[in-house]
Amino acid sequence: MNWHTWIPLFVVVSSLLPGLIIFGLPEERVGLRTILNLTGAVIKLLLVSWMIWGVYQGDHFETRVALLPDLDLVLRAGPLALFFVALSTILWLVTTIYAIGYLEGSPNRSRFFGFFSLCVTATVGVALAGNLITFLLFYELLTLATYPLIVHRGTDTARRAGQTYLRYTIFGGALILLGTVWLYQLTGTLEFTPRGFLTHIDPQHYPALKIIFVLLIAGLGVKAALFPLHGWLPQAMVAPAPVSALLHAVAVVKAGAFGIVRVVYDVFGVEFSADLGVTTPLAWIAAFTIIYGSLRALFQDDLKRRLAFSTVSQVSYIALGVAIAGPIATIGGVVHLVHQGLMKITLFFCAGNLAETLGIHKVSEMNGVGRRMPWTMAAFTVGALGMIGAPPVAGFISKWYLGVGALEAGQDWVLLVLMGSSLLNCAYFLPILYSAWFKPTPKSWPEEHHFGRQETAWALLLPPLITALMALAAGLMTGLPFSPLEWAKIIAEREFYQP
Amino acid sequence: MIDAPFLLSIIIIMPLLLAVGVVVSVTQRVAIKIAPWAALPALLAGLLLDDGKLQLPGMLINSYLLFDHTGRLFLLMSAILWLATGLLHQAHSGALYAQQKIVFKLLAMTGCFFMSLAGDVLMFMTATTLTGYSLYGLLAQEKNTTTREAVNVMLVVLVVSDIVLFELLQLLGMHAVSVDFIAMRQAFVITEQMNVQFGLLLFGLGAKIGLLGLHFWLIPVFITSHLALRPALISFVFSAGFIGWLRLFPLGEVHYPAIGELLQWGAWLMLGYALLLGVRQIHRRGVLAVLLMIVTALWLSIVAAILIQPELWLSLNRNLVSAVTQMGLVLSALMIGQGLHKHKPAWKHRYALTLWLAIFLLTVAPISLVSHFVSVNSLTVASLWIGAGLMMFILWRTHFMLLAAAEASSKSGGHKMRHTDSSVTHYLFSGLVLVGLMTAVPNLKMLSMFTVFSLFLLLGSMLVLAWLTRFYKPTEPSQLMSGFIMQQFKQGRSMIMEMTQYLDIYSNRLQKSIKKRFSPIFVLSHFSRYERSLNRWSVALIIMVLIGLLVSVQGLLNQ
Repeated sequence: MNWHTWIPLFVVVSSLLPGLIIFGLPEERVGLRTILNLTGAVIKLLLVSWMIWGVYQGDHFETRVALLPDLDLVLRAGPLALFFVALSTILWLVTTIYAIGYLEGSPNRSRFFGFFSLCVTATVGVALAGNLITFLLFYELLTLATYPLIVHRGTDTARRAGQTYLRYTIFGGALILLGTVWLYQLTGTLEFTPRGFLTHIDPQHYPALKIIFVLLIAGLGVKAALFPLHGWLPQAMVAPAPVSALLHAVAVVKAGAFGIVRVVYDVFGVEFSADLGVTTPLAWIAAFTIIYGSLRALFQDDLKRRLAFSTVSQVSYIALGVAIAGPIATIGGVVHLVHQGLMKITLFFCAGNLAETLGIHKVSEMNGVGRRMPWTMAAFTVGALGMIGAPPVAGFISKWYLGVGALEAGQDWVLLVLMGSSLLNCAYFLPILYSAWFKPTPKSWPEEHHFGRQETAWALLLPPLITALMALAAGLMTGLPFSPLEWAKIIAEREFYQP
Repeated sequence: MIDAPFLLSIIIIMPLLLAVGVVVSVTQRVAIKIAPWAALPALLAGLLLDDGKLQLPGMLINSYLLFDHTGRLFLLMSAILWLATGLLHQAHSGALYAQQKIVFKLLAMTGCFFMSLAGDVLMFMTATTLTGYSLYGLLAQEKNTTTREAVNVMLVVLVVSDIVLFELLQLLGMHAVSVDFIAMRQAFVITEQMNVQFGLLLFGLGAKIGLLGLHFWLIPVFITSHLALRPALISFVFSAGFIGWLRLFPLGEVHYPAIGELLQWGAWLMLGYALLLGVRQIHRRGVLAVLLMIVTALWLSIVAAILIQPELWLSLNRNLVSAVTQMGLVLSALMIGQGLHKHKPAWKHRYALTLWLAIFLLTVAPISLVSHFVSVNSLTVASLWIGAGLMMFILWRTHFMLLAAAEASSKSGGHKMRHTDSSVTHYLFSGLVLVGLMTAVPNLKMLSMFTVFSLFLLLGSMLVLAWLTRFYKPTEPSQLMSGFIMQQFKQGRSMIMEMTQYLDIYSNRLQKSIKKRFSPIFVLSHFSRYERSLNRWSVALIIMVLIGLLVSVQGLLNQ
């Protein structure tokens, strides 16, 4: 036994333990709760950094615990897992800081932060899962941990949104369970393996495999908000801004998209999936979702709803990159997992700032807000331009690789989808920027709070600035050794080129 | 010359640091004072540095800065024009100089320098986008509706053209081994879809230089933009448009007579259209936008000639870059100068001399290239002469008309500049013309005796023609355009204006449309209902079953 055996488990526990303690803390223990939250996040960050360095050097990190006869609970840190873990860990730290500022003085904070930590624990578990059963366990835990966060405000709308969310995700989970059991019955294994573990299966099982693929992708598509399974996401916007950020950038939606990547690459294998003929329909659905989400975003006056539909559209880039089934498109799809996270969390933080500081919830209320909250809107501008795909923000790099990858794979039509999506993104983001920066400031705001000389509280302002800078750096510094792009290249290399 | 390529980074870093300095309250005052001079390192680098390359480790996809003859000339042009912008802005805005404007100005300047120095397409795209959006931010600071509408049209054009250009780069990227310009040009050569890619290039870059059909944004933006921003605007147009062509398109490496001939006729059509537009144009800033269209037409004609006879490129290359930058500098000078004097007495002053020199320099630029085409392509020679003649004619005519209308305007009084502002503008106007003259020297040496003689003949005839047109009295001096063709133009422009207003108020309109059940958007309103129905998971299940069937069918088809 060595440290490498336990580190993946420690990473999971580093957020689970503080979460469990926080549940028991009285409301007034603000200081202790903050220390627990931040300590957990920092420890997780250090452990993940250690694992990243180790994996880069060729080390192997794996925790294996017996769960059922012939089925282990496996946590393994491969390049793809670490890619998602790193994103979740970094953004968890930032979101925790934001949530501390956002929820200052509001009730039920212990409950909130408890589930918040649990949610991240589940996400990290999903990322590190070494087989489909471990993945499923954490995936379901994520569903249960997120529900209380969505209904946190306790209003009727929040409860309804929570119910919708549960209906969708439990149903999705059931489909995954069905697919997993069937797959286990066919193959006798569920271990994630680079290039999949189904290549040697008897061709007579191919029809069954196709159905299993549909079951798994449909189950995962619920959380990834693939059309027509995206209905829960815009409704979940009633949740507080940190939860929205968590849903869209760190945990839930990303867990779905990550699951699709896992199923295509490490269960079926990308080449085998393409041979089965299941990737093309996935690409069509992803492409349709991209355009549909953008079209729906165009007509939303509620800022968070507009951002939610934008997520529906943007997350499908990941599925599209995977479904194109080529090495370059893989880089584009996988790297968008991180890029979209950075950009979207920035936008949600900014939306939260506008709501908390000025009471702005609608796009039509944003006239001249850039003069009142220049830093927040500067961060928002970076995020929005990134979503459009304007260089040098991160989204540009994702779209570049997706486009070139699609052409390389002979799927030229994807270029039209990317073009249409960029135009639609311009159409629903640029008017916001125009209103915010160039329209006259109104005499009063819907519900203004003052924070001294600052435009808003530091805890609310710093996180979007940090994530905006990260989104900018991820686009501009793509050639650095540990940049998301370089890491995505390692993943693609493993999937396509290594023996 | 200094062999220190790392100094190139200072050109980029300085404006960016100043932009940060302007935002941070502690350094704000100092940064605002230095900001007008932020282009100075670029000017010095352009004059002193050796040709070279600066690798930018980790930046984009192995990006680098390239400093060669083309980059040097465009960098010098941009630096001079941005210095002019900075000084004019300082002179005209004084204490009211807004922080936001300076930040946008510094960002746009950085982008322009990046465009001159970019060694690969991703860096170039980054630079184009940075400049385009920042320049939009700068121009949109003007609070009047006309300016806002005009720059909104510009933004729409820029966004669409950038997206088109991005798609082109992706198409090329598939065949290229890397993203640097050399690899991209090679990809252009080996591509099998030359027509498509050339079309995308024409659209993507043509929109920025006022290609016929995509020119509608030029005139309103030139007319409504602030005097201080006009050199910056020219710098952007020339850098984004012409550098793109020079760097990305394999001029001299592809023989494509079919496209060449088509382009040649396109250039002629554009010259004809510019003549009509120029003659009808009363606003002098609008006239300068028309001149830019003529420059674009001449550019197309030259590209066409090179596509027909690629060997021309070797001898033409350097002279062409000089001629283009010369035209950029002189056009900027004219843009600044036209705001100086609106009255008859001004014609007696040194302004008149500088103005004539500027007109001469602008028209001599294309003529100086004639010698390259004399023996090989008469159609290009003719277009260069005619283009030069048109520019001269339109400019002189405008000034003769000004002379004719001077009495009326002197009676009506109007805006008068402060003495100091006027002096700065005067010096900058003269300075830019002088720099234009210096740029013209290498090309002027190439003029043959016959060309010089023809040039004088052209000068004389255009002067007479222009003088004759002073008897034409415009009926509505304040109107920008009139006549049937202009009506068509207006319709096109108003359509675009409508589109941009759409950006502004679309949500309200669309809601109304949905209520009235009158618009195609009505269909989209149904999506909400469908979406609500999806909340019933039985519906979702049915859809998933259908998707499953689709997958099965697809699988069967594959087998």
